Amino acid sequence: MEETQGNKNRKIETVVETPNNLDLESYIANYKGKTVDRLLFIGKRCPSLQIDAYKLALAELHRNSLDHNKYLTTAANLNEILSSQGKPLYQLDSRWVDTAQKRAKANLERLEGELKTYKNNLIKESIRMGHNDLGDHHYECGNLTGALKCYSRTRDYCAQTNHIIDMCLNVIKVSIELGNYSHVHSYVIKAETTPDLPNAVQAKLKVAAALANLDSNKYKIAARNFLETSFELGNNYSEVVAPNDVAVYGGLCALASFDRTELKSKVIDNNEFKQFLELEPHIRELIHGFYNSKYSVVLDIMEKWKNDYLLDMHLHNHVQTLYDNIRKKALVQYFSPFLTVDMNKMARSFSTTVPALEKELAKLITTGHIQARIDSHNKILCAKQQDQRSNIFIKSLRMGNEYESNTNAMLLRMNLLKSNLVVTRESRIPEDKVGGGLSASARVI
Amino acid sequence: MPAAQNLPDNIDELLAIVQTSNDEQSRKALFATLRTIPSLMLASPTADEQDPLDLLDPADNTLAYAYILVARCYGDRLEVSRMLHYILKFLNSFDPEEARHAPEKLAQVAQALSRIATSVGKSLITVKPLEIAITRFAPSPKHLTNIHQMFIKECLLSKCYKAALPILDNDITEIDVHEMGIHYTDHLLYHYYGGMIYIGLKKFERALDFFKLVISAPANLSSMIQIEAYKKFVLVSLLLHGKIATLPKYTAQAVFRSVKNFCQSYTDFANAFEGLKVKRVRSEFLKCCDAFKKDKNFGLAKQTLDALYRRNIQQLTQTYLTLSLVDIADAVGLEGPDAAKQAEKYVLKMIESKEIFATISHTHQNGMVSFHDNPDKFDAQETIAQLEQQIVNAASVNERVIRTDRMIGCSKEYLSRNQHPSASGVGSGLGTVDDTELLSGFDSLADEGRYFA
Repeated sequence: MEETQGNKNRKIETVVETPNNLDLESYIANYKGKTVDRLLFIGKRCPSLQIDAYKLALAELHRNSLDHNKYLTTAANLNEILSSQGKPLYQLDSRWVDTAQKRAKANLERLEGELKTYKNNLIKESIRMGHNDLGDHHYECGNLTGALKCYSRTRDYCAQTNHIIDMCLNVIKVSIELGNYSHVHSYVIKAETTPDLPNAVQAKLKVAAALANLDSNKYKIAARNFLETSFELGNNYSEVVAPNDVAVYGGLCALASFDRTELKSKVIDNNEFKQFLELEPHIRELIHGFYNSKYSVVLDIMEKWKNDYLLDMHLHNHVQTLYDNIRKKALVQYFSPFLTVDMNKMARSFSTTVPALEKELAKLITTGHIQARIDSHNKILCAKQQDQRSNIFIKSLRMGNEYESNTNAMLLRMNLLKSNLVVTRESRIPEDKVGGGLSASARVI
Repeated sequence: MPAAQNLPDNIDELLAIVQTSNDEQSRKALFATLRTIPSLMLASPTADEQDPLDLLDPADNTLAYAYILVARCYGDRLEVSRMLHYILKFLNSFDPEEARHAPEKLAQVAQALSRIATSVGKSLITVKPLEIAITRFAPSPKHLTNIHQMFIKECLLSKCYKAALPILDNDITEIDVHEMGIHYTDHLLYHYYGGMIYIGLKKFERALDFFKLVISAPANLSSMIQIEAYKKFVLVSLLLHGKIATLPKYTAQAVFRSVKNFCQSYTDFANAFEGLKVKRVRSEFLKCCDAFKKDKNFGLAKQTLDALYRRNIQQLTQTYLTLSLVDIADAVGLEGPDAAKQAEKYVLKMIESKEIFATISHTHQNGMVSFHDNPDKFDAQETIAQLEQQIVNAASVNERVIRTDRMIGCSKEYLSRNQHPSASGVGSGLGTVDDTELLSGFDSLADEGRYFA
């Protein structure tokens, strides 16, 4: 189910304009391993970077993989775009495709044969290795479901804790790429229960858990996971995320879901996370700006980086919600110390118009985020004084009524059951009674 | 008296028996005899052409009177004014104790009355006599009788909604099938009609409670009455709360199932309504229009549309201190050139009915509405009195719960079930007076229908 959800999300095609800060080559250099998907993702969504992204992806496929299917489809896509723009077509390296195909097939046969002999010999460790190698091969060829199958098969042959950890990490890696986050969850938990986890592995698991939570919109938990990630992660996990991403994801999730004190204690005073933030100084600025109530700075930075984030594989679906939440929280926080606020001033610091602000505030009030009322005549926002005493009266009178009618209904029901007055088939309703009732109803209303 | 063994051959002999059976035993014999006498004989006059009803006193010979009366009312020749006279005489003076031996006869008399009233086109004349009959017949105002639903129906037909209140305002909790001759439809119809009366009087809270009682009545199958009640229940809850109110969790699954099949348009409409978007509600309303008309709920449904604007305006009071009429019209979804005028009308009406507290000022160009808080600070004498009254009510309800609990605690079924020491204390509130425990105890008991079966 997770997976279909993921696929559905991905189908929402948004066209992103040229991002302000993205340099494709240095961006992609942050990642190892399967960078192709990232490039394709960018290519699909951002017309201005399309050609470059596809070209880089093709080069990467050519260099480091045997995934000839993807190579062919990508090349076809690229050529379509190039021809529509009247540019010279990309030259397919058909020889590479052939050799890749052959090599993939040969490897597969060899590995399967080896696995068979291992199985006959019943040596656990060899069987595990065999499955693992086969999984690696599938992974390299882009057959993710096959890879997942092989990796999970090693499960029965794990003898040592580091085998288990290996298995979990492999499954997690493939599952993330497949978008199957429920799998990620269960394997993270499985891995975390093994004793003596090295720090680097722990950091990887935290990030994986955080990504899974991010995917299911649990921003607060995701933020905690990211913040607990140790900096030892470094570039070790760059086939999944770069340390820069940890800073961005963690920072945005934290801003969107933490309150002020939590922000201070868990983010700003967090030494581990500070090191991540050094990598992405604008996020650091963002957090400090938010904490120091410089909202125009915050909104500026957010706007500037929005397109970049929309092109991020993991973040793109959540950018809008996270941004909305941050804005909401900023509005709430802005108002919190005051009894009355001039909406003209408020609109200026949030760089919006008064009518738009009024609408936004009205929404926040109806959802209960702000306890206030709008004086639309004078354009002033006033804090609402709750009259607790009246509320208690209203509440208790209502409760009294409810108690009485509920208990009466219960007593009646008991007596009905006791007398066995239950609606059943044997006792049919006399026709005249119902008929009369319905015609009467016409007359009431 | 040996009369019970040999049946009377004609009405004169019967009258003789009736007049001479004075002790407990002979009366019992008489009741048995009455059941076997053919109605043709009961309807005949005496040998000297006298009316047997003139010879009997309904207070002393209630049952005999009732039997003869019923036989006459369903006979071929019907002298309307004379029969009315006898019926009224009977209803005013019958002996409730004796009537409980054959409650169905009382119902038949009442039915005869309403038949006569319908035939002369005056339902109104039935209202008062039936009310008297109910108060005389029911052992307490909490008891349901078999003429309750007839009475309420007559009130509906004659549009005397207020006349039904003295009976309706007592919550029914007691059921006695044998003495009151009740069928399950009596309970369902009574509360269904009662709900309709309350709708007529615009007491929607009570109406909702009544419909809830109908829908949540114990059921293995669902009755059409319950489905009709559910339709009205949906509309009334929209009127009151803007969404479908929750039903008690003991509501029968069968009812939920058939509601899904039969009330689709109502649930669709309710879903649209919950969003409080006028456009969507209107289009859904048009779609469901036919269903509403068919069920004769059209008027009620139209009221919900009105309530939509009111609800929207009500919400604005939570959000705004001041707002111009134009903005109000815009926010609640009023359209057209005179939207602001309409908005003003709504606001005025709502101020009058104390749904909102606001003032409209026309010194400003467009008319500015300032919303205020509820000026009632709950420090008046009346509030305290109201609160005290509710405490008294709650206490009396509580007392009844405790009494019922003790009765169950003493009942044979309960004791035999709890004989094993391991089962002791399950669902029992004996000795404990803690509200929540008591109630939860009941809950589990009430859910187990088998226990009473």
